[in-house]
Amino acid sequence: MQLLINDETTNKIFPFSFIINEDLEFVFTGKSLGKLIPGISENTFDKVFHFVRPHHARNSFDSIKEFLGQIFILRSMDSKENLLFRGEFIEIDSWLMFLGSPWLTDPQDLRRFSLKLKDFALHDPITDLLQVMQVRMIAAEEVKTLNKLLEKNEKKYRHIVETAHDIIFNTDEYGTFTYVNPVGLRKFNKSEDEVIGHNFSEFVDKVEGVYVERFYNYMKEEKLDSTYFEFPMKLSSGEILWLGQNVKSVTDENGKITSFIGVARDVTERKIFEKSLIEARKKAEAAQEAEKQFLAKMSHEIRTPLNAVLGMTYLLKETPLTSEQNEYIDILQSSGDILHNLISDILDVSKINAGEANVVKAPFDVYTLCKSLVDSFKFQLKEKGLTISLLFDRDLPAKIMGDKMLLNQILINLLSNASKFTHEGSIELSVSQTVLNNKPALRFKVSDTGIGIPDDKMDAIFKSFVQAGKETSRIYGGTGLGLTIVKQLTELQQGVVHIKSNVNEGTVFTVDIPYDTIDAHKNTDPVGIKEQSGLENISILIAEDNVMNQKFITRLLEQWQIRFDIANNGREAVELAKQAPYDIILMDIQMPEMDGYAATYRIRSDNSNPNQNTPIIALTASALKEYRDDALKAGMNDFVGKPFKPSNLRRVLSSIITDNKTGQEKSTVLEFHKDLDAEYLETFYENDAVYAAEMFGLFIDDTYPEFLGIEHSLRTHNGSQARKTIHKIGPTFKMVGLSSFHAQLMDLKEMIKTDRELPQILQEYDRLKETLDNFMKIIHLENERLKRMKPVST
Amino acid sequence: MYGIVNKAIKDLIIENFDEATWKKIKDKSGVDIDFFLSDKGYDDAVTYDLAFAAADVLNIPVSEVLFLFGEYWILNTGMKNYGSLMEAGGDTLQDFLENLPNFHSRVMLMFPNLAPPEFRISDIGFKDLKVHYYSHRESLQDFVRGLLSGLGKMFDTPVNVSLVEGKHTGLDHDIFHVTWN
Repeated sequence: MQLLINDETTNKIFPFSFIINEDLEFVFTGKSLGKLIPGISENTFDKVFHFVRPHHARNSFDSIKEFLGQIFILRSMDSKENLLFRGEFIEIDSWLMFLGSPWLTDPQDLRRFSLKLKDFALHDPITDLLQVMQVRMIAAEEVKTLNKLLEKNEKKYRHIVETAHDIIFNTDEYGTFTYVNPVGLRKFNKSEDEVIGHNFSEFVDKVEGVYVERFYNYMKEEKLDSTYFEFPMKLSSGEILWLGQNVKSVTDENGKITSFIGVARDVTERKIFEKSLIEARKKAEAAQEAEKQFLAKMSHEIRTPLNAVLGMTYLLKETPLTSEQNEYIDILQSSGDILHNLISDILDVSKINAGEANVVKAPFDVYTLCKSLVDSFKFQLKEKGLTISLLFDRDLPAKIMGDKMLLNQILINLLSNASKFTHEGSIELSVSQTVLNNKPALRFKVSDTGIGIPDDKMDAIFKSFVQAGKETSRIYGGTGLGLTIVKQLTELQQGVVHIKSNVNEGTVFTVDIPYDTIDAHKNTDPVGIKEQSGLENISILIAEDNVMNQKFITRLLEQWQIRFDIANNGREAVELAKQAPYDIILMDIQMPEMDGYAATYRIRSDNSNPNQNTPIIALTASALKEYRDDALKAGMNDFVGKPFKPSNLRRVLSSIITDNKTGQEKSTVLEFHKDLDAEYLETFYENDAVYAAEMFGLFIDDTYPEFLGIEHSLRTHNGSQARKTIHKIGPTFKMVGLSSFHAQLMDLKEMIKTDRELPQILQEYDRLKETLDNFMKIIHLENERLKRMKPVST
Repeated sequence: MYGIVNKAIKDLIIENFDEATWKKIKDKSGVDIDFFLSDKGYDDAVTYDLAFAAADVLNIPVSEVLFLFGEYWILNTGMKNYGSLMEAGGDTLQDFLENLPNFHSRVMLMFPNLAPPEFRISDIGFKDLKVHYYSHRESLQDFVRGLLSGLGKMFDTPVNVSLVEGKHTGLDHDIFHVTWN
């Protein structure tokens, strides 16, 4: 194929080309060449160009031919500017053709030679390369500017860092120092060489060193942006320097932590101050503990003989007496009652003030509680010629989540109060629903037709040891603590108390207490007070070593037509319990040979014992909550404090029997895993698999993640938050059968509270977590099993 | 987009207003970059955020911000950094516009990761022509109007630019009618 190219095409492809003949005359010049070298075609090659390369070429046709195949660089002689052409010569017939274009090295060359883009062939990349060069030049200029800016900033910040009062440092990702400002070096009492390249952990105590190392690893693992922590450093002088430091992580473009920047402050003085505060708090707590122990002792020492005095008084009154003796006995009984009430009230107020009265929420039947209370008062009010009634809203939930014990105490105090100040007419307890602070609440109204309270005394009656008038105390007796206890216990549960009263007409106490619903079923039990207490013909085992108390109790039981057996100590009680089933066991705590806790444990843990599930009521002279808690932990169902009035014992027995009757109507079908506290769970959930599944599910979804959050709180030195979380989630562990774990969690809370060393706390947390993780497998299995169970109709 | 675009917005604001206004706009936009490197790629969102924040702070429509930015891009950014290339693009407005497709292809070679728009010229008349604008980016029509207006000013030739058809009428690109005297 022969390629014929005309002038027009040549101009388009090679706009800067030219052709010369043997006489070096131009026979063709490209269209753009004339723009750079005006009048070129009127000259000869040697008048227009000078050889830059090949340097040895001469201005002759043959000389040029000798260098064919080499790059030619020609300089235009006419141009004032240093205009070069780059290209090559090729031989066409008897002519030589130069194929090339101007060699431009500066973007400004286009302007300098007045060249336009269209002067170049489109395939010629020279102009584009010039612009690429321009882009690079601009970028290089910007980098220079940026560097200057960085240098300026570096100077500025270095000045700030080096004159700062705080310690400022950099470490690598492992906590090894890469920079420490002069203040830091002074505080550490070390030279730069002694610090740079050394790890933070080298400058702190061994235990704290491990913690510091773990801290940096923890920040990396959790990819924390910044955090604050405090730790002591032991200086070479032996002095302890406490540092509080904010550490911020520095990440690369992939989010990987590459180093840390820290600002640390000497907080030694504050730490010393805090330490003194902690010590002061410990002293205060020790004093509080001593007071508690004193109360416990006083409680026990006074109540035990008082129990005997009251019991014997009661029995003595049942024997034939002269009218004078009767009068003395009445005074004796009345004084004993006053003393008993005084001690109980003082202990209750002391407990509340000491913060020992906790709200322990669990599901319970409000109706049963109220009915049993009203029943028990009915008996004593009848003697005064008064009536008592219960008005219970049918739409209330069958069960609510709340503190049964506290509610019981509030209502007893209010009913006792009403009973004391009412001489004729009636007392009514009504229970209905209301709303308090946007939460559903129960409204308890205790109305009486008693003496009433004057308007000007309304505010004072809730104050400790204050009654409506000086005369009131003289005439009616009492300590003036009953309503204080009502108010404090109500407020402890976020509730409120109101009074409405007219002198000589009566008083209405209204107590609103918020509650959590747990059961959508409505109460269908018809409202009313049953005349039968239901205690007749039941059988009771009494474990009591004190003969006086034995007499007192047995006499009462005989009156109530209750069958009973007596065990003189815990061992006898266990033996008797093996022989026949009882409806209730009354168990004294402190007994010779075997105490009440051990006896209860034996009965509960013996599968062949017919009383393995029989309600056991503790009889304890100690009013302190711990003793009562221990009784419950040992497997007891309730307790009666000594000394007790016959009505108190009767109330507790009624409550147990009523609960049992309700329980017998339902068959217990839930059986829990042996590694869980199955007994507690079976009592707690009875046969309500739906509720149990719901609680297990909540534990998995909410409680477990919250437990995991404790670690973060600990590591970020937020002990207060850690304790709050433990306090919040603590009770839910029992609800999935982790009773022993609950106790351990409380121990952890105590460790945090007492400011133990963090590594020690973390070690304990890790141990608990491992234990819990093992339990979680069981919890998940149980949850699945419970979900598969069909709800049992109640 | 390349940093040169964001840098141009910054320069436009500082030259026409002041540093304080730029700081307000930057704070408002949430863009936390103090120094834009011309040949570094930035997320398109940075440019859009700056444009919207400028409209907010200057209390003018976004369309006006984009138009002003288009003119500034030609008369300042282009002329200052690539003046010789701009001048070499043509002797007259018509000449430059006719070469616009090639010109923009050259720009793409300078900034290989730019993903720049593409232009096509049609209906070339005595004192008018149509510029076809193809871009995957949305809502930059006012910026193109500003560019074309800026070119008119560069050649001392007042132009009238109107968007005659485009994505809003169902096309896959926008068509501007450019007329001049």
